[in-house]
Amino acid sequence: MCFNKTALITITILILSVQAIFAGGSSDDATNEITIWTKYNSENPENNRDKWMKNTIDVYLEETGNSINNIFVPYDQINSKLNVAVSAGAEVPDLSYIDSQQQAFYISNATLMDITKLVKGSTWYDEISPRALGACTAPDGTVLAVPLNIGTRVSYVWSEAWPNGFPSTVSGFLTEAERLKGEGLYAMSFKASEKYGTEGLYYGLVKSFGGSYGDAEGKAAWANPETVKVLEFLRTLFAEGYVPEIDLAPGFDNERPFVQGDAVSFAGISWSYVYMNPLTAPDGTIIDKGSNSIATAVEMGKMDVAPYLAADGGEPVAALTSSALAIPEGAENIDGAHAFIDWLMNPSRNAECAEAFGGLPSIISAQSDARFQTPYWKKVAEITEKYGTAYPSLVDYDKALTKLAQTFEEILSNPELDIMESLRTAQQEINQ
Amino acid sequence: MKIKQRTDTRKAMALISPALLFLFLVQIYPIFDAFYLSLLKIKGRNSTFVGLTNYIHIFQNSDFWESSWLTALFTFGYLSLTLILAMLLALLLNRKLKFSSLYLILIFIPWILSPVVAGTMWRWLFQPAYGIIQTLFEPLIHKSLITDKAGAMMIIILAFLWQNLPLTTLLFLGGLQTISKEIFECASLDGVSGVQKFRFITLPLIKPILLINMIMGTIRGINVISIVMSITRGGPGRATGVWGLYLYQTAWQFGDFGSGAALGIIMFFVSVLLSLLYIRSVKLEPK
Repeated sequence: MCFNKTALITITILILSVQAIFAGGSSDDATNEITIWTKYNSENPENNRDKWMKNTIDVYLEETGNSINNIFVPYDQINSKLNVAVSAGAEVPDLSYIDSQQQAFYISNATLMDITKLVKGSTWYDEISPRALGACTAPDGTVLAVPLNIGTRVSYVWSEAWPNGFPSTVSGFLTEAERLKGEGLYAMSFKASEKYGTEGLYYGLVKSFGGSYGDAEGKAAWANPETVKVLEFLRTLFAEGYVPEIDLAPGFDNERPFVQGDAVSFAGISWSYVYMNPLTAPDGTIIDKGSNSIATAVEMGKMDVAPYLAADGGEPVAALTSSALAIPEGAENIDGAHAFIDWLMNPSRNAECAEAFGGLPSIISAQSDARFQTPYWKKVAEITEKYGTAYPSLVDYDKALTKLAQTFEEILSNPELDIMESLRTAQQEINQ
Repeated sequence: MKIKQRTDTRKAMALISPALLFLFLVQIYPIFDAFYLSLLKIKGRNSTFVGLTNYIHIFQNSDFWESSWLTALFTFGYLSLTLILAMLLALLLNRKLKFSSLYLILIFIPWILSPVVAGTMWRWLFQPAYGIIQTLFEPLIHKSLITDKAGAMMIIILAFLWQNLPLTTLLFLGGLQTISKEIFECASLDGVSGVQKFRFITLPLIKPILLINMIMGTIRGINVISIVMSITRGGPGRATGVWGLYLYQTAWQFGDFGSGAALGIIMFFVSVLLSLLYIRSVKLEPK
């Protein structure tokens, strides 16, 4: 009995020790693993981006023997959560997805590592698009992230509703909008609420009118006559019913009028097509090809891609952003992160990644990949080349754009509000 | 005798000390830590002691005062409606109705739903052009409620009321069921009307429950965020930018943890103050 008891204890200790040894073993293996934060759900893939992430993790492991631990973070939280993790001294990933337009926010919070040497010393440095790299470079020349693609602001247009083509200027648009209203159609749909609204059509118009959101120091500078003109135009759109009220609602339901053929143009971004399906054209034709619906509609001649509207006598503006990878301060496996970036920046992988994300590749040679020779991508590339412009560089990026979005919404929902006065008050509050 | 008492006290202290320690770690310590955080300016991994500067900035910011007004409006609106409706429902359920258990289960469904799910559902109901309720009311109101300042506030009040009604009703019902039926029978014999019975018998006897509902409801109203985030995200403009959302944006979205913590402390003190006021105003001593 006594022997049995001793034996039982010994066996238990042995089992626990073996487990501990194996646990230790797996911890050693973990040096080959990198933790990455992305807004892509590789565990439960739902769209092209999620599927790309899952596939990339599998292929990377297969080819290099190194594993990736992808942590899915919602799109509207990833930038702030990364900043929180770094500020709080919490566990940070080795690599993280970032939106390039947020770089001023990251600079002011010292969230990201300076990876200038790493980028400039890499084999792919000479091949990277200067536009894409510029979007990830601080004003002092410090490179903070590696751009994976170039996202371009473009208009999606139901071709048959615009027999004379999609207008290039605001006054031309208003004339056509009145005609379309008579046909029971909205001339356009766009995101008019929240911070994301200010990054889209609002910014394109303000820049086209010659205005700006911020000054050279990154301070808010939107209280200018150009922004007033843009808001007067936008007020007309809502007051006359040329655009649906759903545009002012929170979330991304503003895509629905266009997807269902109730609105005949949509001010979006080159990756909007990932989410816009199935499509119903204004004539009732249904195009249901998953995330290829837009490309199919363009090939069928049902849909066209055009630049954003421009001021009368002005040039259209296509704001460029990059989905990028950055190494946060406090990251542990920097070599692992570097190795993954190098692996990913191979031209064919970059093309694959860019296609899944819905942007042009950041590696120039990858732009000639067959995947980017379709009518849709050729048009996007043309708009990028002709009208590509950087996003506003505001120090308190989120805070400033959130305030601006609130101000725009208030001005648009209250026709009595003095536009310049409202803009000035918001500007002063941000610059305090 | 004294020695025995002292030993008992020591034993009792020893027994409750783990619970007290746990309570201190998860409830008391975070409050002090948040207060300390509210005195700092945090940038990246560096922090600087700035005293009460964060509080001063908050009180000087017009957004804070607008947010305070919206929080007060929201809390008062939803709480008063919840208390009235919950009381009516509880009075109804306290009667001997057929299938009253089934009604209770049905009424309780909103409470068990996640605020995000409930919020998303309410947002869809009021979505311009596609929302069922919006479409129904469109011919009468000729505007979209969710993109209208007053309409958006009304939607979040209704959604929060809908979610909180079950628990409030249940607490009232529990209170009503503790009142002896004999009191009402005696009152009936004396010719007391239904309204008088409610005013002079029911209401005084369920005062403790009313107080609990008021305190819990106020705290919930002051700290609301999930339902607002999932319906309006504070919009249109700042029309539904209540305190909870303001704190979330300040700390998490804009990365200003010092000011965020200061806001949290302000919300905490307002909740405590209002709770004390309720306790004082609702006298619990039986006459």
